[in-house]
Amino acid sequence: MPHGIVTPGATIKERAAAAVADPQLQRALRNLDIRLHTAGRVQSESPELKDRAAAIRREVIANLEPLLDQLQASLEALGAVVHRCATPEDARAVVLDLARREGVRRVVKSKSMATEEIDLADTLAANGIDALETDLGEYIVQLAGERPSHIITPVIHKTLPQIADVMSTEAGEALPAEREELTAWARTRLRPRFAAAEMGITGANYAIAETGTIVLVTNEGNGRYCTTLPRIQVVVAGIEKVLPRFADLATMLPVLTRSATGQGLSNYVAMLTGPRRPGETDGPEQLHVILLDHNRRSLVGTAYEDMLACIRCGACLNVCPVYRRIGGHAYDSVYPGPMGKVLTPLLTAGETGRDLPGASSLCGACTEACPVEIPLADLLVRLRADLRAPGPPVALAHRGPGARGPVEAPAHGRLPGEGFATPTSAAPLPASAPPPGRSRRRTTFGIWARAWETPAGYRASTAAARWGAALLGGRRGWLRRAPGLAGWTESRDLPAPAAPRFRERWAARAAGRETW
Amino acid sequence: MSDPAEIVADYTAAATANACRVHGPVGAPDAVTLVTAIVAAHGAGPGGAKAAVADDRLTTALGVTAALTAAGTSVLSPDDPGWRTDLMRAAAGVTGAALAVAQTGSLVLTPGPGAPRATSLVPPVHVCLLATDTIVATIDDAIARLGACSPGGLPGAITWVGGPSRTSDLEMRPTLGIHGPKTVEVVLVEGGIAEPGR
Repeated sequence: MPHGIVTPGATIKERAAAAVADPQLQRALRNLDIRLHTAGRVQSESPELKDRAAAIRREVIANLEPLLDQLQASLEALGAVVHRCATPEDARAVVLDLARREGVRRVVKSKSMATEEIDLADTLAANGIDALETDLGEYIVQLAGERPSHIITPVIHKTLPQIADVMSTEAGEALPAEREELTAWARTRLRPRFAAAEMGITGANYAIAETGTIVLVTNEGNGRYCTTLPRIQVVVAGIEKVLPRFADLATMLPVLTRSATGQGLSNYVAMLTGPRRPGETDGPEQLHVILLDHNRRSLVGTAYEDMLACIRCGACLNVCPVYRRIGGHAYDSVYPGPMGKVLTPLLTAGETGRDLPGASSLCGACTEACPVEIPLADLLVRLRADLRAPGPPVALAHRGPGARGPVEAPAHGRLPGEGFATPTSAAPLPASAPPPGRSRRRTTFGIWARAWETPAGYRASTAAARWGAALLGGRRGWLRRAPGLAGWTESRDLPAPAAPRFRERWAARAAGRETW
Repeated sequence: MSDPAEIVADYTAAATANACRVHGPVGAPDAVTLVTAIVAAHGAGPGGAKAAVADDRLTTALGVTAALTAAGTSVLSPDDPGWRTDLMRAAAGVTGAALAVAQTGSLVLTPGPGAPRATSLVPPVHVCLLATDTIVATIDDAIARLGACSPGGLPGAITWVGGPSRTSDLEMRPTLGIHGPKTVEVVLVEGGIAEPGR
């Protein structure tokens, strides 16, 4: 699922460098500060809400198949049509066939990451159907010929003057870089389009198995338009968006909106149960619900299944020191930021995004911010190891009891990112030749890992490290370079080994020669 | 938060923070007079634009359509042949709320037959009647109430409205009135208009 429209560069490293060197982007990204503490406040103000949300989402993962069957039955009982789609191709074909059959020429879309995932708007446009993004941010992104760079705030990568430029080009006149005026212009421009569209396409924040209710959380009202005026409504939802009960919304609505924008509840919540009923004046005559798998099912029962708990709130993006510096386009994936780094290689079975898990300092801010307790940093560590071998992430093949166990690496997850031994990473190196620094580093870490398997090896290594550090002239407790670790020490200092060593001091203390 | 007066005060504070204009509470006759005045202030009235009225439990019980007509305002009813086109030009949409949430200042609407979903969405002003005894304290209470009032299933559409349409897409600063109503006027009606919901 590459974006196609990206910050330039062949690798995440090159694109990150380009993003950091872009002064306009850097200015725009400073606006993320507004949401920096949003997620943290949720955690501190209502930890019990987070616990309940995490439990509900784990219940969904554990019962995914029966819940999907129940959702389908509930929707069909209401008169909706359910399409189970294994791949993005299948989902696109369903929408295209429907549009052709119904003579649809004009489509209005509300913001939906699932439709981005299947590249729906471009697919419709390529087939001669006018597919208009109506969320203000998505509309601007569409006008600019770009892609969203944030899953909640799509045009966060642009400053207000840049946005005014894009809208002025469309308007054919110079619009002022004023929020109120730009908003008013877009309102006037989009209003008639809602009224003219035959089909409205939305995502789903949640789909309730018990009642067949599709829940849409929005602020602007375009989602309401898309589900009110067009005669056909299409919902595209990843299968993990299902919730067991209507009552679960009491937990899942505030968790989502507080984490996403800091609002106690979003401005609009639409709970839509079935198509238009007899006697009603508006609402869709036809309701089609596409339940998109796209390798989600393959995660159930594996070490990665926690990722299915994700509610797409964007909190992990807002707090991520990498995302905050490089923005979303540098990831070259539909889903950016920490959740995107995990999800992208999983949804594409390793076909894309293989270098994304490496683009993390493993600081753990994402894990802390996540309102449904997804151990994002742990999953990143596991993916790094798992993606060393060509093909899909190795752990996808490991299902059943124990598959979800902790990553076989130190729990703090701060070991050097590559090459440490885990049971799943005893695989050949990737076919493509790694850069020389990396292979040297890999050898160093390999020897290190083997040495530390025995007490004697550990003792020998610490003694060797002390002599080595003395030779390298480590001062004030830090080494600036180390042979075999070039690349690693390029951007990091290495703490110099302590002298005397802890074990020597411990032995001395045991012998009564030293006390603390 | 079980004290009714406190719940009304909390709702008013939260809705005001959401940029709603909250009027009342007043008795039923005064509420209708208020609605007429508000609608007129937004340009609907004799010789002016139309006011779209949803025929729901509250507007029907209070006789809003009759009162507006008596005041010379032309009312757009869902049964009118040109309803869909005329709604785009209406000055205001008038609805009742099924309930509201004090904690978040959210109105909860249950449109249905006679009460289109678009009445609270398309006109630039949404005027909403809210009976004070239908305000609940929390989101949990509202979800429980909605879940319980559905032996025959949930209403086809439940619409929660916090306040005027808003966006934060432009540099993450809030701006009002993007797609939905720019103005939301809430008229609180004192107690006793029977059971909430449909």
